[in-house]
Amino acid sequence: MNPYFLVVDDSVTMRRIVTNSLKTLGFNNYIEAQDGKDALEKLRDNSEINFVITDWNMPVLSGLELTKAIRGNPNTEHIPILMVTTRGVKEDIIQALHARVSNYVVKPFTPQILKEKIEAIMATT
Amino acid sequence: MVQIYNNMDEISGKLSELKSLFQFGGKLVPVIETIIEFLNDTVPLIDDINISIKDSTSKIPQATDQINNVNSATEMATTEILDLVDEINNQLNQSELLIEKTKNKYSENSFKLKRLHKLVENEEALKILDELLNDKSQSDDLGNILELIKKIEESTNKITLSLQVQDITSQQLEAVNHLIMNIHQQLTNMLVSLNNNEDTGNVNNELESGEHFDAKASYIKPQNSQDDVDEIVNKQLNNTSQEEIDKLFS
Repeated sequence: MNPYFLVVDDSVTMRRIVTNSLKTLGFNNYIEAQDGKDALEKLRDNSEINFVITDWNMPVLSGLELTKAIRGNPNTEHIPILMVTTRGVKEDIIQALHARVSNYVVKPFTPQILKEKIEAIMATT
Repeated sequence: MVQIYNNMDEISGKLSELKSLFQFGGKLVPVIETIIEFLNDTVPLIDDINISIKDSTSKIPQATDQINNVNSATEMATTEILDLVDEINNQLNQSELLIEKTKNKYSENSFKLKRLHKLVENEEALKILDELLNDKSQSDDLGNILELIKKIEESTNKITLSLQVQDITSQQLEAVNHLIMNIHQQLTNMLVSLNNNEDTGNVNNELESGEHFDAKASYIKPQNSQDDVDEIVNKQLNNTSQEEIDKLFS
């Protein structure tokens, strides 16, 4: 699998940090979206995207709603989703898993943690 | 005659009731006077409260603007730091390439010196060539510089990692903003009540949803918190069936 990432976060800083981490890990194919709605539009317009890294708390459309929308669409339901969020409470994690995120990373994270989760997801797809 | 007597009796009773009422009224008058005095004292106080609430209410948007400004400024500063970190990383990459190139050149030169060593017969020249071939200090120095560059790269990675604090504090500030807006709405509602439901101006009664920030966001060292998350994720993915997850939400 040659991953083409969609990095979704309303924070410019976090998008930059995630994409920098991806570059450090050798993943150079990615595009960015500033919220869930923007992400859905990018997914609709770009069929190459095969990996979504998303924040949870965002205006317009949250990461959780985005996950449900991706899973609810036959064209995108197979795309792996890595949730990267500040929400580390058990109930939140279970809620995200219930929405069928592929894995869960809590902020702040290291590039190593990101790498482990991406590789673990890629190994199962 | 009996009828007149009964009527007189009734009138007497009514007069007696009226007398009691006047007596009660007489006692009530000072109480009512006190209440009126109290109300007279209270009205300016309520006016003061009204002015004070109006004043506070008008200042709240300023406070939220200031918080938003702080957020924008820190985001801009963080972006500038990230730009600089990127620039440093690019320069470090270039330095690494240059050093690798120099190392390769050094190896090539060593190989040439060895070839020259075989060709030269002059003892003095051979001695100098031996010295040059045995001198590993240049190669060691290059290795040390490469190690140093790796350490600087690790440090810049740590700086990048620490800058995630900007997103976390930004969410905390958003939460504070949300609380302030909540208070603003409560005060506005009070103003409306105090002014007998008159329109109090440009008031937005719609409080925006708090879904775009995490009020509990905190900056905890990554590995500890991620270990806790992994434990929950693994437990859920390995041991819990979908039915059980569904049950949690039913």
